[in-house]
Amino acid sequence: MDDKNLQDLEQKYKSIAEELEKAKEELNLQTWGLTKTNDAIKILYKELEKKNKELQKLDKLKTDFINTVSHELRTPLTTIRECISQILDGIHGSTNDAQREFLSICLGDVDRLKRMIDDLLDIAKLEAGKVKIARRQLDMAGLARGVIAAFLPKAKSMNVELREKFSAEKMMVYADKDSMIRVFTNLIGNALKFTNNGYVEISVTEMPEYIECCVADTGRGIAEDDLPKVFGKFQQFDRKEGGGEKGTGLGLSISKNIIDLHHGKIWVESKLHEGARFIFTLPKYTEDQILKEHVAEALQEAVKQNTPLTILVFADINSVAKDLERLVRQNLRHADVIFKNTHTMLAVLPGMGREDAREGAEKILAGMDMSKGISYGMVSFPEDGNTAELLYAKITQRPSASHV
Amino acid sequence: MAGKILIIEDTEDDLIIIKRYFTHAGYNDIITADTAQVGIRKAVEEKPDLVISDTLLPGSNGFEVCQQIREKYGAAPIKIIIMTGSVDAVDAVKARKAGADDYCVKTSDCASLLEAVKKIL
Repeated sequence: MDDKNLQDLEQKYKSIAEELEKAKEELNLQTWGLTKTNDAIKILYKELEKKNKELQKLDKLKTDFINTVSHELRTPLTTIRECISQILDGIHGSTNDAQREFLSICLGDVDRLKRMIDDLLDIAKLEAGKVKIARRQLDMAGLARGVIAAFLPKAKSMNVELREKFSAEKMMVYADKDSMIRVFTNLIGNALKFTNNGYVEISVTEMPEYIECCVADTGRGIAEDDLPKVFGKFQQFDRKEGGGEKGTGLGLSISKNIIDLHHGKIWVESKLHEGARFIFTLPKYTEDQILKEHVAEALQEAVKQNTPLTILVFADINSVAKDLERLVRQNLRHADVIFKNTHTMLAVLPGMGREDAREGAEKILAGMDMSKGISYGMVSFPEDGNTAELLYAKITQRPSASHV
Repeated sequence: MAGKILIIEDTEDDLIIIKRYFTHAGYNDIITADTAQVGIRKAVEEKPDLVISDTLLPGSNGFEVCQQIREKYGAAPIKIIIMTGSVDAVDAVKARKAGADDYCVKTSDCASLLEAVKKIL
């Protein structure tokens, strides 16, 4: 081997050694980095866990506070109201005009305070996700008519016309009745507050995929700058003097929360001095979707409460549907009755086991004159599955057990 | 305690908390910056012994800040720690490659940060 070869070899060896050294450095760096990263993530996760626990504690504190306030504030208020009423009614001796006038003012403000507490508690519960809405099939046109009727005397006294415009006689939605009354009441009440003359028009329109409800007025309208704030909490804009009860500034915020819970949309269209249109939409559900939602809701509750759940499926009930529904409601407490179609009826029985449900069904059918031909089946949790899909699949099968 | 510390942190609350803990631990000479730009300028002008930079900064990041300070400082013995409070941003290898002396997490009690500073200063 000559010198040159030897030199080459030496060079090669040197460069390999250098590369090895570099690789070793890189490896050290990676080891150091990974250890550091690992430690860092561990510490941060612990920190997150700690914060999570603190938040849960605060959340509980908030709920406790809401519950306490709701009870402790309402009780004395009821007493005050009753005492003032009694004095006003002359039960404790006669009062003069001035005294009665002042007592009336007190009464008005006590009522206002009560409304504010109720609204505040509602919004707190809504925001905390503690409100349960009981959605059922209901006729939105009929519901709107009812609310409009309640406002007629007030509108008349204000010389404002209340108009209604419905695209059909009946329009079914899947919604919580009390919540919908509340939204309509808020919107119509608001419209009247801000309308001096002209009219307030309530319309319900059936669209292909949703039901659209609108409360439009010819009132003072809302300034462009104020539009984004309309659904915020405690928002009150300039209002004319004297128009009935003072508000709490929470009505629209509560309405928005309610519509959100129903997977709908709510918005406002308005220009200053050109009236306002408050519009909300509710999605349409097919009968199957409603059934599924019901089953899912009931199941969720059963799992949470660790109780059984049985669903009775009555088939071929055509002519006796009404009787059967009445008997089910009478005999099976807490039964949630849903009609799948004209010949199938479901009774969702939270907390009831299979055997109790069977007994109940037999008793009901035995007590009916026209029960011949009606068949029923049972689907229950946990026996038939623990997901809404499994239970729903069983429900759609034809009932196997027949009442003879 | 000896040592001038520059803290680069864009969240005002975090800055206040860190500063309070460090002052409490005896580090009295503390300067602060709320952007990467101001931080780099102060690092050069005020010659701190240690720079602590947050990882996520508006329009920049702790790794870039570290690199730029190293370039501008030359061979002067400034120490740099990069810190983060976000699980997603943890990258110790990147910090070391950018020229950082250590990499740390920012917790509500600043414990690991203080520990790292004590080791370095």
